[in-house]
Amino acid sequence: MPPHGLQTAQQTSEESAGLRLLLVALAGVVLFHGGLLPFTHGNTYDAFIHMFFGDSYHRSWFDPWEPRWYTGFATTSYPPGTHMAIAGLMHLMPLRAAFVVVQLVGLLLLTVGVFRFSRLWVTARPAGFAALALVLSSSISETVHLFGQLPTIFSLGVFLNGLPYVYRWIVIGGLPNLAASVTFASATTAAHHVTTLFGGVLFIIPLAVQALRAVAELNPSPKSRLASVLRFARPFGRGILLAVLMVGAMVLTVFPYWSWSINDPITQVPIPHGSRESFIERKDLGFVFFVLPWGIAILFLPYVIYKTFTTRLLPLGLSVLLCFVLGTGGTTPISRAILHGAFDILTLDRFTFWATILILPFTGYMIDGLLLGRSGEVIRAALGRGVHRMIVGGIFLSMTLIAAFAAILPTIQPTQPRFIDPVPIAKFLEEDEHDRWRYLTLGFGDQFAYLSAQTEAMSVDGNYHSARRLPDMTRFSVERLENAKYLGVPGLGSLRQFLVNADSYNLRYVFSNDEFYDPILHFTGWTRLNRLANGVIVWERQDVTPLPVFLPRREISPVHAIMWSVLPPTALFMAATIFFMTLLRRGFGGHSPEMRPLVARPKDFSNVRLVRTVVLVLGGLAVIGAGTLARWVWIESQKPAPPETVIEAYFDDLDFRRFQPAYDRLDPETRPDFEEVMFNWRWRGGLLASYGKLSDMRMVAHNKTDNLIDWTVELDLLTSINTRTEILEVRTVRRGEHWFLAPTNLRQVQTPVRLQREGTVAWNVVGRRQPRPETDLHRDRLDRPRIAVSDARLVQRNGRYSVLGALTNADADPAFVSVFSSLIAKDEQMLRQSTGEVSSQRMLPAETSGFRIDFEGVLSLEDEEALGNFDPTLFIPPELSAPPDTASIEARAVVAGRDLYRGVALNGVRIADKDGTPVVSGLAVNTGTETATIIRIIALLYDDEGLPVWAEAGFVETNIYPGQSAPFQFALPARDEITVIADLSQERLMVNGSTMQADLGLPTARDGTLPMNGVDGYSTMRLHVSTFTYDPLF
Amino acid sequence: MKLLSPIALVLLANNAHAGDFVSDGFGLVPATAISEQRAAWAGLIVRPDGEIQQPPEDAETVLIFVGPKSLVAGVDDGHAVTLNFDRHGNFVADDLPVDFRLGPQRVTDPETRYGIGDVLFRPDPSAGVFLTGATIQERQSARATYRVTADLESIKLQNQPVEGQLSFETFATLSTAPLTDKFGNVANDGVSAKMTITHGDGAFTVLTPVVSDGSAQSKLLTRDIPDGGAMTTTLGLVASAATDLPVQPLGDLVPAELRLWAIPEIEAVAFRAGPILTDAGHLLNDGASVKVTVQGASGASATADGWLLDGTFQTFLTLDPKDGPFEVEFSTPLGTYHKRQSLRAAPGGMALEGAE
Repeated sequence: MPPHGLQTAQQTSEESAGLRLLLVALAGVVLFHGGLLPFTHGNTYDAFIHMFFGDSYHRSWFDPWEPRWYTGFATTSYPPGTHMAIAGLMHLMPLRAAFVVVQLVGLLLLTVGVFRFSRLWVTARPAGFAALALVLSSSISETVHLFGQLPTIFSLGVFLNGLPYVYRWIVIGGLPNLAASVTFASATTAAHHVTTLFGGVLFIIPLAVQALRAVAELNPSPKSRLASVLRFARPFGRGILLAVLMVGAMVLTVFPYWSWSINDPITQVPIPHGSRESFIERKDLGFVFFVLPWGIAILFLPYVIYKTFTTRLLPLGLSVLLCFVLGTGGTTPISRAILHGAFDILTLDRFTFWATILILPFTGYMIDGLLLGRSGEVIRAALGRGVHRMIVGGIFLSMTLIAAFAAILPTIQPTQPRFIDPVPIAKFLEEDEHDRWRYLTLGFGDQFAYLSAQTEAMSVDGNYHSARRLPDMTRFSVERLENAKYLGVPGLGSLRQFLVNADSYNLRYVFSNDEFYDPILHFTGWTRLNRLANGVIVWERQDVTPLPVFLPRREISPVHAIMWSVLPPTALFMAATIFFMTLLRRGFGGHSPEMRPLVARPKDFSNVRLVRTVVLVLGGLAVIGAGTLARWVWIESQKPAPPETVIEAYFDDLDFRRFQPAYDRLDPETRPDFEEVMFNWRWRGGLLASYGKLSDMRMVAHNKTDNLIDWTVELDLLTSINTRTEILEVRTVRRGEHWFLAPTNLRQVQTPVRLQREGTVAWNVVGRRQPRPETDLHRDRLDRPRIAVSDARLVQRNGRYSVLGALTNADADPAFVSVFSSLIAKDEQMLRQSTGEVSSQRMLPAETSGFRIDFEGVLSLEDEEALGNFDPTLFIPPELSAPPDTASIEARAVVAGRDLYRGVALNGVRIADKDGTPVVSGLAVNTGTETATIIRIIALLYDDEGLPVWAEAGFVETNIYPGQSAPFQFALPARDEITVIADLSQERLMVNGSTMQADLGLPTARDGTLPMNGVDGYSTMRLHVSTFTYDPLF
Repeated sequence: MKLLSPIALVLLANNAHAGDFVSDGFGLVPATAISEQRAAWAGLIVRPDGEIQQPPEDAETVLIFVGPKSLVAGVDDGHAVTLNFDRHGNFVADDLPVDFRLGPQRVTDPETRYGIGDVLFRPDPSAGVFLTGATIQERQSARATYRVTADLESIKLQNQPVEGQLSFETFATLSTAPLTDKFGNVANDGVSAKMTITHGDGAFTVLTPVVSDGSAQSKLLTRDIPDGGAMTTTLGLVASAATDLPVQPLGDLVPAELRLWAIPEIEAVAFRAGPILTDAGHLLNDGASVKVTVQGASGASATADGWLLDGTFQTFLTLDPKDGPFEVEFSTPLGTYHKRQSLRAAPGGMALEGAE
């Protein structure tokens, strides 16, 4: 190396080249990523969450309590640096523009950071190529344009720009270097603490080893061994001091975060994350979390391994390989063995991301060699200039294409619902004091966070699971309530708790963008109001208590609040100041003698023929191998599938609405036209066909011949109400070598008339009767309808407690009824629940129906079910301090004018005993003029003493058009499964706020009921039919 | 003069900020600066503990509330309440007479207590919506309403007889006689009852009629019910007598034509039945449930069920075509046909369909 201060002409030329490449890289960031960001950030997973946090700080910089999610949470649960940057920019520009600008700044910082970091390992020109490789990195594209991870990019950019100071401090000392190192550590933590934590291990330790090597080279071996060791003492000591100060900075900068983590530890079930799965079993996740971020860089790994063990890049290479292994997730047991408990908390794709950054100095060195160094010379000599250009061009083209593909992947395979304009929803919440209650969104994806940022109204849901504190949410591993259907029944169980017990959370409005949830909304007592201008449906739960004026909140000490508001932005500001001062004083391209990068040594290469032979042989083998593989794939794809596979594929196609492929699996000799088959599919909507999601299937063959097989197929369908099994008889036919399904036909009953004429009663609960702005004039209110609860009992079945009874609307007006019950043991109230699907919430005057309230607990972290596979029949028993000996009921009603369709009749109802299980069956017939999309039948069973002993809800599986019909069947429990614990006395009942019920003559077991002859233990049954009449979904 | 401190002025005004200022004919004075003498000029009564009471003035605002909204004729009493305020928003004095107009009734006895006037009243047992109002010291309230509804427990429930016989696959309107209570009031529109038809084979049909124009009505679609039955209507505790519902039976005109033929390419046997003609002059209805069982000479049998379409039914069965002749049993709502049959030629327009 030349003496300090003197550079060779070559070095100067290389420094200039490196700087030019850096400038090209920066321009590339602005043009490529900056050009895409305005269009892609709305399709990412995390962008809107960060925008919400930014909006939170914009509304209130100094108060870290955010009331709009989860009944309130502390923003000290996430490092605030980038969010405060967004908040600051919001004074100049809108929210989304502020996000784009901060993300772009992060990318520019990262580009410069990669260059400066690479300069510590390789010379300037390869470092420039490393910066260029960053621009074309598929992991950056994926992280920015698919995941929307702002703090990850920003914090790493800050961190990498601090590493040169770390290096210089260790090698040569100097308080300015120490101060700068600590400042950058503090600023990195302000943006994201995990980068500092893991960066310390993955980036700084290798750098420290490199620094110690530089110390050794700058201080050649002294005479004695002691002196040889002691020359490292001061650098080592400086490293330890730096580590201590960095840890201190990390703690101090976001001290309220650490305080929150310790005092409110995350008590929730680990959220499943695809990066922890086996990528061999889950190839789709492997693609997203491994193949795509690595992109073409994975082909460089052999080169990395070679350079790791043959050059001074050993520490860096080992870090790359460690991250590579950790990033494989659950594919091997190695990651779990290394990370232990952290495996289930961390998302492991971050290690793949860091690996793709750590590899960049190698990449830059390789590209430099290919273009301007020895590698290029070898290839040109062995294979010719044309092949050399193809290789180099191929690498750049591949990188560009993969990066572009990663950026536009969300438009090819959308990961979010279509964009939902939040303005109509925000306006709805602002009108008529609707924001006095909480709201929930369904089917918004991550856009829920963007909606949250547009309104001051509060939601029970949120988009940052680590901040969840409600037991109902922390103990179900559902990332958001509205993600419920993608996690099967446990997710829906969490959602159901909120919809059923809405009053406990002051939850009144649901904004639904996904019709999948319509059945559970309707049948747990929600009313569909209207469709907003953005296509979102508003659902309302009546008679919900509004939020109290003063809401409980966690008091955060003023010291913490000030620390949180001041320290992180100060750290970022100071780091920015140091950055610009360094840029102005020295620039980033200069060489310092303490830097000991890997320098390429010119060397003659003599075995050109050997290289050519090896490459040609390998190329030939690759072509033969690819051809053989392709031929095998072709042959396998042409093999006729067995009939079971055809059946499975058929129902899978229908489940995913792939109608043409499903049609192609029908017997070509006997199937009707595609339009006719589509018509049949479209006609048969309802609970299963329209709102069900296929979760499993089983099939049993019978009546086999060589060419015909009859099957009984059981389809398990997940609906928002429950899982249901549909049993179908299916026939497969062999034509030639291929199996097909015989087409099925609908029962083509005919609606008897061509024009229906019917007088119906319509209600309108007027509400505001005059054009006056007051929202709730007393003179406009209707007092509560007179209702009665009779024969209420506490029972137990299969270890589960339920309260049931008869509910009568004794008023002259239709009523919406809410019923709550509390379990009581020794006069101590334990658990309170509301009715769910087994209750007719909407009752006509003089109607009587059964109701049942089930008491269910919340999954505990100690439960095995929290860790294992999801069980669709999972029931969590409530945690009770003692077995209940009685219960209390509170019922209240308001006048209702909607969802009162009673046009469905039940023909031919039979009650039969099937292997000890009573089964109710019949034909549901729609005699009215509206389409009955989903029909619920509530059966209240009376025992031999004439008292209610059980209530069950059955659903008709298909929709019924006017004049059409559909069979129904549902099972009832055997009488001996039910134990009556207590009959609830009058003083346990509170109706419309009074414990004194009116002296009304209420129907008994003999009034309006059906006899249950031949069914042991039961005397009669009362049936109540209610219908969900919105247009059937297809 | 003695300054009173602190002085709290108790006001029940709509918009005033009580306790800040006292306004009287002499001007506006901060309440903390007022003296006993000045308080007396303003008509304020000073108490030794420092509270000042404003004596009530004449009524200015009268708010009326009448409930419950629905009173059952001859059963429920209503309660009418007025809240009476002076110009300051204070309640008026006691013992002021309140003149209530409650529909056709007029009640002038009540007097105010603590500013509130109220009366319990038994409305006339005639159903309807009635206007109410109240007057105190020549100040009137806004109008309010209450409603009297029929006493459902005193209704005599009777079904309207069904004329003639019901046909299959048709709508039949079932209704009750007009539902009037003992006062002659008609049940409100929207009141719900329950109609239960008990069939001869032990099955039931359940309908939910809703009162419209005084009688409970529902529609019955005569589908998949084996025969008529006896209909009972229930409304609360009141039940009607059973009414017969005869359904006209159908018979077949000629025995159904049954045909079997081979499908050699899949080694199966196809079956077709129909057209099924009835003695009512039309084909048996689409959607009528049918079932066929075919047994070959070797004893192997196959069964299929489904529905008629355009009077016919066809399917194919997992039987060896060489296993004839075949015993065919074919069931429809009209009856069961038995036939011994050999394979014949395929009819034109063959379409093989499975059953849903």
